[in-house]
Amino acid sequence: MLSFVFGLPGGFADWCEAVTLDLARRAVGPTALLRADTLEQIARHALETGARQAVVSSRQPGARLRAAVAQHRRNVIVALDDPGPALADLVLRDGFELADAVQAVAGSCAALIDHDAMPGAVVLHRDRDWPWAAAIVGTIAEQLQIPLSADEIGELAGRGAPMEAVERQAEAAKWWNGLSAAEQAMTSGAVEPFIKHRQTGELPPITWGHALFFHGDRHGDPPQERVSGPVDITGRAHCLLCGPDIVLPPGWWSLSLTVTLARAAAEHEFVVELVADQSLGAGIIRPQQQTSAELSIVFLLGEKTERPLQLRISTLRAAFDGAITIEAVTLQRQAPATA
Amino acid sequence: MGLPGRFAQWCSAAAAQLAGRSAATASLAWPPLDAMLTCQKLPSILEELGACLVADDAAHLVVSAYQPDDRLYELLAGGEIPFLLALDEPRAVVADIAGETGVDATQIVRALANSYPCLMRHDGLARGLVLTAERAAADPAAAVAAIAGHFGIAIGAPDAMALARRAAAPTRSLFAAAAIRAGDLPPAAVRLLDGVLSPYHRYFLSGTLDDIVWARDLFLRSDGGSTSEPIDATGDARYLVYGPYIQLPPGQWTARVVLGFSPETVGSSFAVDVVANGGQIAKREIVPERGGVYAADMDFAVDESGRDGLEVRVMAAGDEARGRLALGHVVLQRRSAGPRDPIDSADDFEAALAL
Repeated sequence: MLSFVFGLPGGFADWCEAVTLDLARRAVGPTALLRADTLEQIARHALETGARQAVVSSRQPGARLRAAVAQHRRNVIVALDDPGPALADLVLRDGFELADAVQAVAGSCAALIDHDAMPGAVVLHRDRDWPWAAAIVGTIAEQLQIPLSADEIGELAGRGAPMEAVERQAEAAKWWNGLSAAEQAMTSGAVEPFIKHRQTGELPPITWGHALFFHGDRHGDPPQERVSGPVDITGRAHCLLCGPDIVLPPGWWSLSLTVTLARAAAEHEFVVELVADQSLGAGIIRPQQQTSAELSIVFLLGEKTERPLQLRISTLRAAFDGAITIEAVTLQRQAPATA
Repeated sequence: MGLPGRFAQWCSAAAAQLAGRSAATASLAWPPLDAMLTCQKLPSILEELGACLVADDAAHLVVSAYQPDDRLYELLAGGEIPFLLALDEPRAVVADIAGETGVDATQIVRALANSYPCLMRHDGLARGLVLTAERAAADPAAAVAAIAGHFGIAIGAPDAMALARRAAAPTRSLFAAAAIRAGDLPPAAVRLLDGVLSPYHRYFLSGTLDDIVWARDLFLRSDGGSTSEPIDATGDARYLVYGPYIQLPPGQWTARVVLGFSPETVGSSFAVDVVANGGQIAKREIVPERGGVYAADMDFAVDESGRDGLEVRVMAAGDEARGRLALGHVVLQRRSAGPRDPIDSADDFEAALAL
């Protein structure tokens, strides 16, 4: 038996996951906690362990996993949180680097943007519901069809009591005020649109800053080393920058890329590629000796797209001098294109 | 895993019966036969397995893999997960599928040819049990016991016998029936599958991969005509024949493309090439000096990542080609199972450089 907990990274989703795991073990015996975002990861776990009882916990559930859960009306706990304090938790509590935290929270927000479309979902909000932890425990137990006594509910509810919302907001605000202007801009650009979406239903443009990207020629999948400052283009033709590997909701999108070029970089041309599950689009930046250049690409992210979006910028020929900086990548979700 | 014929289905049924003795069991066969026959691109078997696990709370799941992909291979190669490799005689499998679907034998052979390289990779893995239809037909209860033992399921001899009967055991008479049904296949279909599929079956029995022959029936003509008929090559440069989009196991290969040229083609330029993963990996040019049969040999390597089918193309290479040509067949010989060793070419360099 599989139970599902989807949620934003942070203490609330972790607590919901722990409660669900405890309840599942009471109901069916030994149960594994499986952290999986894709159907393939679930399959790998089953083959490697032989276990059929698991709580599947996902912070960025992939499109096909979400579709399978919805299609088969599987019960799922969706544990939502305010992205701002969730970011602060990752940095302050879990030791995430800021860019990594932004990548995790932004991707999670995008993956869960349509949580209302999952028919079997019980949607919980940290600030609204966690103060009534006993009710959450009762709801999850009901979903798993596990009878619990009041004492058992109380015992489970009492584990890992949440920080008071006011105290948590204050801590997050203090952390936020300690960030530099550039760090605040990077964070706001990537995460705030999802906060606005929860409030209004509309998704404003998303902006990804330079510090979210990775060095393109440092090996690894996913790439490992984030850029810091302008990226030297010296060397044979190669990938200079890639990233930020953040999930986006499906649909038509327009991407606007602005770069600044230092020294001899203005004499070069750069190929820009967009990739998720497959190639989505490409273009050429032709600075023509200017120190700034722009490129726009319109692309479609299909409903079943699994992989996060990656933008790659590469030189076309060897370079002996120069540097490139991403000023901004701005993404605007479009109305469906007409033929 | 195995070819999608009655024996693999019997093995899956037996495994399901064994597992079902303790708890509810679901089954997954991937890819579906109709998708194999039409060469559809499908999700990976692991993704489909994950979807089954989400859909069904059954305690056990029997997975029948007819084209096990790289991701499944990586897991099984780890040596921790037991699996069964069910081998049946390809003539019987083609007959099974033809009888079940009414689909042309050429289409079936192409689909099964894309299964064998995937299955070959799993031969010799630590936790694999190879079971042949012949062995199972000789003693179905022992076959059931072997399957049970391999998957760690306890079963006594009487239960194994009963389960073999319930799984519609391939008794000797049924096995004979399969051979008889294979005898109903048209001779051309038998020659086709003997060239394409039988070398793989013999590999599992002997460890040696004989030459594979791709008959012209597997190929396509640009003008839509039959490859059994001569092709009018008159005209501009263009592709004349292409196909068959069949995978090969990794290794160093030589393809011998046999073509016939009419006397009118003398002086015209033709070319033959091999394409894999969208890129040309070998090419030979032919300028007939007289009418007759020509063989173009091309060496190439197929690597582990070459999961798309191979394409062999015949083209009129120059403008104003003249005459007619006919495709005979393509013979594929695997020279070695591994990647090309750069040191192999050292002798060539040393000779050329007089070292």
